[in-house]
Amino acid sequence: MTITQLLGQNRKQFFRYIIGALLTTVNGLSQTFALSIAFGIIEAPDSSIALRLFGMFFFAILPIPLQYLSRFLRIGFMRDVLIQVRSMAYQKIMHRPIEVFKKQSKESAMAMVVSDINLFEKDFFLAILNIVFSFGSFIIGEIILFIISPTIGFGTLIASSLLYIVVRFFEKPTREIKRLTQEAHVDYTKQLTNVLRGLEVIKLYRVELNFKKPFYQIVQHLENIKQKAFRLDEYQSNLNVWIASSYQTLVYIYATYLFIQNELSLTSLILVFNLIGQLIWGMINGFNFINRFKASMDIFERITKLEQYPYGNKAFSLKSGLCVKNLSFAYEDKLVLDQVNFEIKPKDKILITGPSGAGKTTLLNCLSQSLSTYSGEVLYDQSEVRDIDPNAFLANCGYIRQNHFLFNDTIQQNIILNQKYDEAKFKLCLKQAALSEWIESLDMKALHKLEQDGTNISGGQRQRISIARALYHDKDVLFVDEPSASLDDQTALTIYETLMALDKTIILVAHRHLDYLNQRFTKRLELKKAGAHHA
Amino acid sequence: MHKQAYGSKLWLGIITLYMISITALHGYSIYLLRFITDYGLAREMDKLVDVAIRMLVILAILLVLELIGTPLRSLYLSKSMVQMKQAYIDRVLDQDITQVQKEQVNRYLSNLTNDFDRYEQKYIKNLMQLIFVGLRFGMSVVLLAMVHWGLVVVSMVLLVVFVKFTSRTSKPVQKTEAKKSASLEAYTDFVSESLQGFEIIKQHQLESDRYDAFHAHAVAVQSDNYKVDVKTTQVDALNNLVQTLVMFTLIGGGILVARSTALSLGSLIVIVSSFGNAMWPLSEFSPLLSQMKGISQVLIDFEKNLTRPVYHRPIHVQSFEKLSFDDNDLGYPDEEASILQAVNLSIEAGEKVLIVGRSGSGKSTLLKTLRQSLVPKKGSITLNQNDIQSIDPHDYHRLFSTVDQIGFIFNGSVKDNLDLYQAMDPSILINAMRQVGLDSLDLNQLLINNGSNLSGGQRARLMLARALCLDSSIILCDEIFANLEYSIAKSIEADLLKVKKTLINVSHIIFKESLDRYDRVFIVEEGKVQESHDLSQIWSRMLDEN
Repeated sequence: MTITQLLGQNRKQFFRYIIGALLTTVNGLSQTFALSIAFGIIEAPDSSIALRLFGMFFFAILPIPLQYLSRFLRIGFMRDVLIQVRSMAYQKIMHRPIEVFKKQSKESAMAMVVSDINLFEKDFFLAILNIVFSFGSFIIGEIILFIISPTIGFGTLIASSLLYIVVRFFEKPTREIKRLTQEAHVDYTKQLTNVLRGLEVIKLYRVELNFKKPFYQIVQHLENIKQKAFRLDEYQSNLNVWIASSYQTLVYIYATYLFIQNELSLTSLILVFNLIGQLIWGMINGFNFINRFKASMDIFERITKLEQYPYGNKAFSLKSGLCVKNLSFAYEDKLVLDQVNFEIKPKDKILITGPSGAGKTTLLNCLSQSLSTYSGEVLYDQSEVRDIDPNAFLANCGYIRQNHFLFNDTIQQNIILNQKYDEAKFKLCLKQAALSEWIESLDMKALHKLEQDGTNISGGQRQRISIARALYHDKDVLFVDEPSASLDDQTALTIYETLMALDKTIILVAHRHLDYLNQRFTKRLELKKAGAHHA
Repeated sequence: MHKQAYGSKLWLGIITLYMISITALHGYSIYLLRFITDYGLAREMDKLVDVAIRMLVILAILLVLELIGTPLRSLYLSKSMVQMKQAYIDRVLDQDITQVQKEQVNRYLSNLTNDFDRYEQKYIKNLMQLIFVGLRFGMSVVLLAMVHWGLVVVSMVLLVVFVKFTSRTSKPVQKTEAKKSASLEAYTDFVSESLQGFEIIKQHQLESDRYDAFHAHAVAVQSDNYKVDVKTTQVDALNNLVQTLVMFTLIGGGILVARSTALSLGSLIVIVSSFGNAMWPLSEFSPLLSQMKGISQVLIDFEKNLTRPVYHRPIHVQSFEKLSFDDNDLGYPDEEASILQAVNLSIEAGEKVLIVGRSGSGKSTLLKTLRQSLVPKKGSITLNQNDIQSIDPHDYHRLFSTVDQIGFIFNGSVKDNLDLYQAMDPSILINAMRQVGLDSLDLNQLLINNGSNLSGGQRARLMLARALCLDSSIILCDEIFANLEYSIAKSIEADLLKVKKTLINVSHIIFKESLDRYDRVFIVEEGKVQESHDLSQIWSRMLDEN
């Protein structure tokens, strides 16, 4: 959805927002008017003083209820739009295929839904408001100035153009440096995370002093870029401030000269002086906000524009089997899989083995739509896996990964997820994943709450919950990556027996218990280190 | 960290001097305006021209000053931030080994990113602003006094009343703000969980459930924000009303006086603009101060996170002789029950020790205690007859080289990851790489993202090579075979058994043919740690797989 569509959808609210913004233009003018009425008192006859004082207070206070009304017209729109933008950003991330997601750091994804939206919020609405306010006031103010003194009116136009030139001159570098700063921030967090995660290692090996320098460099780099951005920003605003205040002074001198020549009344003198200030400072504001508006549009585009992904929309079926032909895969220039060929029938169970670094997990990822940049063919019933609709694929294929993520929820909820709870099936899965005994020993049984990605349980328990989860979800095809890495031998055996007894297609990667597994699996694929042949 | 609260003091002094000069010039230009008006009203053209020329000179000087100001301010900011962050890093690196667990590390990270950013925005930048508005305020007072000292008194009284009023009205906003932060935190946690569990969410097609939950969080955040906006609008309107009434009463009064007495219009303009110049800083003072006060909490948090636990650890240890557990109960401090009870275990220099046990049996608890991440719940552990809690931490940890399950690979070359930036003879590195079967790996290969460009087995072996390179008495292995294929695991084990150091190997994977090469074997099960003397008994409990 583009910003126009978004605003179109909230047409009524947006209209109220603009009305609210327009109301603010009256504010400054009204107070200027109040001031000029006040100074008029000096030359006015005694009889009109009371009326003039009343007029002064009326126009001085008028902006306050208007401002109040304006805010209320605006904030509802802000709330509704931001809820939508947040949701769009979240959807954009969740819409990504796993392989795309994994290529980017979690920090940058996090930034999209948290800090970038805060930036958007800060800039977008403030920019619209200030642009409407500044330009609205400018047009009205210019008309008044031209009536009082065409020379001053014309001069103000020129001064404003000068301000605009300054703003335009800084526009491109400002945008560029903003982008760089943003990148530098992400980079900083990434590098810092890297060193901090290793803090224990640093302490254990007592190399604190050796790490001080790289640590300092990370900080220094970010601050240097921030400094550049700050300077650019400051130069622009200082230059504008100087132009504005100088022009204001010049006009004051010129207006006083006109006053001496009797071409200007005292009321007009005060009006001119105040208006100039308001218009010029308003324009600086307005021009700055044009840049900020553009920047907020960039952010909006970046966090909400949906990306295109390489998958198709074919249905998934596995009647004749899975056929892998000449499958090769390289990470950058390092060949990992080299011409892998095999074929399996539905309900077949295949064991994939090989030395570490031979590409076992990579192969599983190619087969399971988790990696699409391979060459060769992966065919499920003659359909290339990349052409299959991801939803249809996921509905039929399960994957037990090495990364066992657990939600902040009960064990039971972590296993059934969004499925209906079926007690018999649930109990069976616990048993199959060798979890029953442990769960029975817990006070809350399966309703035991897991904390923060399951940090309160052991690695083996995490692994088994993850296996139980896949079993409960009962997909026809199951990819399994090293199911026993954190398990002791007895538990591992139980898990293998469970897998062997399932009436499903199973593609298993393992590096342990090979003698046992080799006996149990009739179909086996041994991967060689691809680099070895090409060294 | 409190010493650093103002950032770089030198640069703060420099920019203060700078701001004093620029404010003085500004004040002078307002002072001249008075004469422009008065000469204008008196129709004295010659004098007007004379003042106008002086005014133009000042404008030119101001341009130069404005341009100089930018680098000065940016230098103050960046010097301050670098200095503070480096001070923080020094403290982190100097932190006690017991304070570098995952949750503490996350706190350091968020301090060094978000909290420092906020501190810069809300304290350091506001401090400059505070000095600036303070000087403006002083300038206005001087200008008012130049017209008449009584004006200073009157305006100060009005201003104090106004400031008191504003500070009162902003209370309800702070309360609503607190609620908003709570919902924002829940929102952030939810997003973070979604990203951590991304693969599982995709795999099980939970996107729509998650989206609904997300939407609810987003609505909560924005609704709370709306409430803050409503409160702010009301408070602002009230403050504005008072401010406007004070300002215009003064203007109206001044004009009436000017009309009847000798007060010149030029003076009146100086009064009005000075009063505005005093009012504006004052209305900024209290939000600036309250923001600064609010954010200074961050420094207290920094201090809390960085405080080293106070230990009395006077004993120095040069070499390793004997380590013993004596009837210790081990477990986590926030859990009442202990995980291992009455642990008795002793290891002497040069011994090769194997500790076996099923997953969840408490092996990690044993190791964490040894590494002093956990303190025994009962009794004390001794090293060379000294309680390990009384040994100087550096001395203690220098004895161990640890290779663990999670481990950590730094961004940098393979070499950096081996020598950890210490000067080391290349032959040591090459030798270690050969021992773990990684000699095919280029020492200059760059590793990124916690070694994600290595396979699981390569990572484990690299960490083992690191332990071999570093000078220590005891090699502590924590489940290093879990991600290795058996042939490599076996050859690494054989190498480890040959190294002339004490070896403590904690593993759930064991190899029959090497069992008898260990001096001692302990079994961890059912909350107990027992030494086993019957190797066939150990083997029979494990799956026969070779």
